[in-house]
Amino acid sequence: MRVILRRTESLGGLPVATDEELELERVKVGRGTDQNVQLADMRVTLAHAEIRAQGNGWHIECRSENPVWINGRQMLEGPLDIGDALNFGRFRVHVRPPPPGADLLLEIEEHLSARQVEAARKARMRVTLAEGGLRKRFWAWSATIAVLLGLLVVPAAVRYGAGGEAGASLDGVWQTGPSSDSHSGFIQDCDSCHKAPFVAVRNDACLACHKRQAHHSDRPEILAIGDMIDGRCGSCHLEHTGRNALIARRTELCTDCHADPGDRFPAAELAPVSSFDDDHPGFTLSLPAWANGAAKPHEVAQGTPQESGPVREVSNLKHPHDVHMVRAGVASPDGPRVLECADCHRPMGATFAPIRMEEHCQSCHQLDFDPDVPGRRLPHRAPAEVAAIILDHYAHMALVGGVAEPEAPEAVRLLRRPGQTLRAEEREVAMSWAQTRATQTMEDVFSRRVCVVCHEVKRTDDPLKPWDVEKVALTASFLTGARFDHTAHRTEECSRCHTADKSKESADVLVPPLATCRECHGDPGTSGRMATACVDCHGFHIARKMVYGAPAEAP
Amino acid sequence: MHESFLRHARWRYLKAAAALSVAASALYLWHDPLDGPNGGTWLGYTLGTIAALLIVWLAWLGVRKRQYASNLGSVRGWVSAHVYLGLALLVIATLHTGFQFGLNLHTLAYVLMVLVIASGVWGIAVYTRYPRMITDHRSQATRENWLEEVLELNERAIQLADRISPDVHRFVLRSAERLKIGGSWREQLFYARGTNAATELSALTEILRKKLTASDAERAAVTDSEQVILLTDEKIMLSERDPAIERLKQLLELLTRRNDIAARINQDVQMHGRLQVWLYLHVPLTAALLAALTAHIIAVFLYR
Repeated sequence: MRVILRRTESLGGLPVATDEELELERVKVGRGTDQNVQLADMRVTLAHAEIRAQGNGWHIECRSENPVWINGRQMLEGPLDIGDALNFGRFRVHVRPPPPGADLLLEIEEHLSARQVEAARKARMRVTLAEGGLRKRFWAWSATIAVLLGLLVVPAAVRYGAGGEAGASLDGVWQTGPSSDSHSGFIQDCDSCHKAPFVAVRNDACLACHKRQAHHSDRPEILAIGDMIDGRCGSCHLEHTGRNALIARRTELCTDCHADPGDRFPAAELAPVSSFDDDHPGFTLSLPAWANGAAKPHEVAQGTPQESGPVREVSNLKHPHDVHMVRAGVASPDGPRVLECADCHRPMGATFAPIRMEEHCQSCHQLDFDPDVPGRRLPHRAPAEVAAIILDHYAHMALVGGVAEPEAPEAVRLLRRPGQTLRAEEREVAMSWAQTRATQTMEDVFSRRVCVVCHEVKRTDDPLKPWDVEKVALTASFLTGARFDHTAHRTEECSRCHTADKSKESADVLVPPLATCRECHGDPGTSGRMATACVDCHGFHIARKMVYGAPAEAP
Repeated sequence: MHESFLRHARWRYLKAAAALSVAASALYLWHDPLDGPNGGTWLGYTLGTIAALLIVWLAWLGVRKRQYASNLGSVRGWVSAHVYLGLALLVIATLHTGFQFGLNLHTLAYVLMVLVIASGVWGIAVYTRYPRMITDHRSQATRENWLEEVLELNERAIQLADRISPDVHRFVLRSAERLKIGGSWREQLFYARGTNAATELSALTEILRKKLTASDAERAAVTDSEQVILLTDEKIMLSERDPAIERLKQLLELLTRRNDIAARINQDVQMHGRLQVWLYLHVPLTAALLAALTAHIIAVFLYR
């Protein structure tokens, strides 16, 4: 075949081609001097490959295991076509369309200088981490976009965009801390409290559930003061700070105003309180005050015995604690019985069950009628009822007859047959005797033996109720401004606080002084005693009528 | 003597960072907020603001170190401040959290910050260790010299091989093509031997062994390149400087030297990689931290 070898080189920047025409069976390509296409590159073997005609095209075959790169692919042999480019080291051989009269045109070009080859070799080496595939910017941007999308844009879009309607919520990732147990049922719905973006939770969000929440005071002039108007529920009630952290227990929250209440609330007329240990008034007790035979609770400052003598309670019940608390026991119908506090003061919730004569007293204090009639008992009822029962008793005796009393008239002593009635004058005598006996017994029961043991008793002019008993007012809770939970103190002996065994008079008030509380309780921060906050004893929402969210009006 | 960034300006920034940390800790211990220490108290906001400004400023080092024309302090001073204030940031931001952590965006931002600082500490560790090792390893040469020498040795080996025989030429050609310098980041960091020199050399040894030995018995005694070199020496002695055998010996020496230098380059590449790889965590994590910080600030004020 007729082969044209066209060598191109650059002379002064201009490509110059020189053609060489040969008649060959096959074109030998290599570095050797005997080759048709001689390529001076040490990477080319002496006899590298041969090209020969095959069908309508050509075929190339390497003479050794040193391959050739055809159109970027490494091969040892294969067909050749017009347009193919063969790389031998820094030389490139193009298969061009042969001109008329020729069978093959090979264009040989030294496409890289030796220096360029070396530079390319160096460039192929990956010797930095960036060349080795580590990409700072890629990961930086990926992480940035992932964080912004996943934790800001998408949650915000779901929350404020159209998707928020479906109830889907991703803004839980914004929660700053564990929610309170009380609110955990709806805490995932952030918008149930956070109504407007960039605005602190407002009271109306709280009042939506906590309807008619009692205010701090019933006095409009106090509620009208700025701190009360602007006060946020969130100032004292802290969410997202822990499971049981909803009520802030800080002393300062109260003492900010109560350390000097006259400063901002002169009308309140409250004693200043700045510290439970050092600056706290004694208890104010609720005691019965008597007027026209009726008791109304009335507040008395406990004070100290040195200042004003002890506070005394007028309950109209005679109950000296010491005689009930004697170590040897009290005399009961069944013999001596040692009484415990709980025999009368039965715990019920934070306080005690009301004390009732029938339940707590009567097993010892039996209401005897008449020593001659030992089985007969009087009920613990109103004096007129008791008087009627006594009179009925003796009238019945007189009418039945057979009374074994030597001083009794004969009409009363005689035993009558059934159906036999008394004559009119006999009946008069009998009824007169009955009246006399009833009067004696009433005097004995009311004023000497039974009622008078516990009650204040007085004689009246009323024939139907010749004796009367003063009303009794027992105090269920002595404390007015504070809660005291006996259940929380049940591990302590009663005598730790109450000196009942030494109390000789019913008028003694056995509420211990505040100093007793301070033996165990102290201001937060003091060591050795329980840290006790204002809200452990006092409530904030103590108004009886005024509620939040309602317009301020006079109670 | 060269002054390290750690002791720059007589530990100026260490002192500043320590003072900042101590002051913040003292305030934290003194402060007794209503709802316990947290990011939302006045001190929490103060520490949070300082921490956020610190983070932005620390990240700014990435910009500052590229501003070669800047007059705003030396880069060494900036790096010194970056290191110490970055460590102080750990104290400030931890106090800002009030030690409240949870599965949320806010703790993620904190964790990212800790990771950034940890990767920075790793950076300090490698910067106190590798630069000296790299200098010692190079012993006056440069990597560029080595690369040029390797390429030149390759060329000479190819030329020499060409004068020996076509199969040796082909082998050396392929060996030159395959010579492994650098590679993927994993290869750079973990496979410092990096070149497949040992196997290449043993293959060449096999070729030479066949060329040099006449009998099977003789062949069996020659197993490694050292023995081949000994054998060529022997042949040279016996054959009274046979040029063919001398060329073989030369080729072996060329390739051994080439592989040796290639291994040095790979060790150099490995040390440079280990010197810098922490940045590939530090920088992307910083970007993530800036994003999380932005989201954190928006989220806490969005739901006040």
